[in-house]
Amino acid sequence: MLINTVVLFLTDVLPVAILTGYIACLRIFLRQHWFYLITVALSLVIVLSVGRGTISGWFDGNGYEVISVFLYAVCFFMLLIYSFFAQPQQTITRVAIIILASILVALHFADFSLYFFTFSAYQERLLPISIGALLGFGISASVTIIITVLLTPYRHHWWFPLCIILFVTGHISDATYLLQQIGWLNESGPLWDTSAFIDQQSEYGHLLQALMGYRSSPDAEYVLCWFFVFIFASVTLLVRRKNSSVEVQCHA
Amino acid sequence: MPRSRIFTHVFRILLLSILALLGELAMAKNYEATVVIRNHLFEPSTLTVPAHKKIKLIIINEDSDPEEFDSFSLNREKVVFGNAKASVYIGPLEPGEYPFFGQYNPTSARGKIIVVEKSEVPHAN
Repeated sequence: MLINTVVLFLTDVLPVAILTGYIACLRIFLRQHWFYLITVALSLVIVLSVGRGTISGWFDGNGYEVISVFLYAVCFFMLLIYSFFAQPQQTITRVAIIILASILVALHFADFSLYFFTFSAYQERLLPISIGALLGFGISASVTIIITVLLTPYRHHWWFPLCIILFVTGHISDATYLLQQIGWLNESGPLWDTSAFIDQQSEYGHLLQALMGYRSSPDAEYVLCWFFVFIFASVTLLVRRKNSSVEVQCHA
Repeated sequence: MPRSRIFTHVFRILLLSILALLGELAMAKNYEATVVIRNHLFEPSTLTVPAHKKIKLIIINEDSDPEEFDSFSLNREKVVFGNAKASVYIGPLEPGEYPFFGQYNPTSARGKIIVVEKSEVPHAN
């Protein structure tokens, strides 16, 4: 139960830790912005966790997947807004990041909270689950700190927003599996299998999945969605950069 | 190019993509298989299904606790509440073995889907 809790915590919370690290690197959030982010994310977690039974009953038992796909679509629009208006101090960028981060945090925490609150209700399981959660929290917090310390000096480099786009792309692309799971999207079978090199279940596999949506045997739909989101957001970022440099030249 | 025009183009491309996605809606008749979660175990732990067919996998959880059906090789994750039923679509799959497990009880709740050619499946519909 202890190991399982740590693994579950890392699976669900590691992406949140990485995202928190990236946001901290941006240095665009004041204290009240973190407060907004936590409030919105917590509200969403409560809605998705408490109402999960009800939500799951919608759309012929596929409600949770449909809601998740909708939230991923919202994330995609927020990513485009971040890419396009990526003047970090602009209010619209902050709002986009708060909404995007809240959704990703909520979708991951909702899964873990269901496990945590269900099984910690058993007296004999409370201790191992609590210790497991504490260990998982420690590892996740370390990841956040490492990312913040290592990447903050590079936050103005051209590739830094691409790291965020890469991260969000990996999570948004999960929507294809949700659509396939409920039968709304056909599945074409795996395009390749790299599990012999990096198994998705391994530690590196989990880390790469959290960082960029790594899958050892992705299908064509997932790969297409991944490239679509990544290229679309990257091109938006490039257009914005080009426009910004032209504006700077005009002012000069 | 003015921003409003860029947004119009972006919106059009997105709309077309969504329509293309919806155009992929599954139409084929599906093969159904059922697995029951009882005492944190999958019953049966081995399911044999036909290759190259879309399969509706019905998961019935007879335990009072929720369980998450999880499979890395199938890329599926589905929470099934206690005393409830859920379904996931998988495939079409190539012949082979596809393991799955219960994420909340991974040591006990384990199983695999064996995909074989249609002629080898018992009671294939």
